[in-house]
Amino acid sequence: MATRVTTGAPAVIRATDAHDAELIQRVRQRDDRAFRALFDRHAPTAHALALRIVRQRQLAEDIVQETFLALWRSPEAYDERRGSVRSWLLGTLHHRAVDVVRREEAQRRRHDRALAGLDLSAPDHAEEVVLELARDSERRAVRAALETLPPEQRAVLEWMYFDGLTQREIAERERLPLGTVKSRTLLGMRRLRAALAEDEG
Amino acid sequence: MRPEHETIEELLAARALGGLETDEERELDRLLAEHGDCEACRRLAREAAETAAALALTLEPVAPPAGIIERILAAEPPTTAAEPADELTRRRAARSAQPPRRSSRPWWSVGAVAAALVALVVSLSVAMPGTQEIRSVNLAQRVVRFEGDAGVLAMAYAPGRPGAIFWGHGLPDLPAGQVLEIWMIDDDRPTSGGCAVPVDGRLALAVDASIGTTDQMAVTVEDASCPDAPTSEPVLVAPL
Ligand SMILES: [Zn+2]
Repeated sequence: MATRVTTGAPAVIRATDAHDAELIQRVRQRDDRAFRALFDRHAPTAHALALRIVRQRQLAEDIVQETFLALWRSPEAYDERRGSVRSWLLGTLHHRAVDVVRREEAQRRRHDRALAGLDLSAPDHAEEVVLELARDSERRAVRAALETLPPEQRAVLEWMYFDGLTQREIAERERLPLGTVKSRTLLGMRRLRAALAEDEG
Repeated sequence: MRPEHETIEELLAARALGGLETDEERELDRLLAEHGDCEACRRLAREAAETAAALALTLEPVAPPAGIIERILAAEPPTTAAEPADELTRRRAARSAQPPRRSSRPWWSVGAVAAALVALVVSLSVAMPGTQEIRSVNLAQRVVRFEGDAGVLAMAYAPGRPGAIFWGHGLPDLPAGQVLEIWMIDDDRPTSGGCAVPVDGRLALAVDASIGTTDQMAVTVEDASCPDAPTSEPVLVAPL
């Protein structure tokens, strides 16, 4: 029997990306079930990212709501040539969250707030259970890929992505030449991408 | 690749991470505009976006409050896409207003469907507190996708531990009295993993069977008696 084995995370990642594209198509036809499916799938990661960046529960929720409302209102804004639905959603959310942080930053230093008491996502459909399992193995793969970065490259990526700092701000704070921060960014991103691709291949 | 692509890549990487200042953003936009409809630029942008988004996956996901999705859906719908939407909504409403197709099937088929659904509910309610249970076996889990022309079917299981979850969509509309039977094939000996009937082409099923030594999974269409040995060629297969 001529069959092709597809096991493990990467195949499923591609399957979920394809499924996302299909869901977006249905959202464009105002299918609210497809929208709910996209929300169930991506909102927990989006919410975690918003919380990590703005560190305020209410603000984070507002940002998640705005991001998904924008998707519901104008799903045609998504352009598949620019990447996956997930990277688009997370990119939009990231942009909003960093904007908020920068605005807030001008007024006062933000401080950590206890995030305890927040429920972890509890999938309530079998489909979600399976996709959740797929995502868990994907998360492990991403964490492992991040581990392969030299610490100074990884730090620069995380300061930018999670703390909303610009390359210039990092250079000033860490007393590094701006060129060093820029090259660490580029090398770190290339290396992370390669590690992710290797994991997939 | 044009020489500026290195600069563009550097700026795109920083932008995807949110690390550019306004003047750098403008510089990037200027370079991109200069390149116009450039596939290399698009690829670099795509790669930067995917790589940056991967960082978000290192965070533990946090479920947003349930109110959010309801507030979004309750918000004013956009006017632009209204035409085809209404059409679709109407069609969907019309479809769901019809009595379920299986009500016209013979009683034993209804029984088969009911049995499959009961099995589904029972085993899922076992598996679902399962958020905990399943999380705890995550480190060892594997997800396998079946191959074949009969729709999409995936299976998640933890090698060495009993139980597997199946999820599918786009599965065939079965004639009355037929079910999908899942087989675990071990040394050419098939063992039934259970029978189920897809509803609207979708299937969600948890089984207690152990996948431990199985070297191939298969799905056949069988009659509702859920026989002990397959009587037809598989419509989906997954070598393990
Ligand atoms: Zn270009």
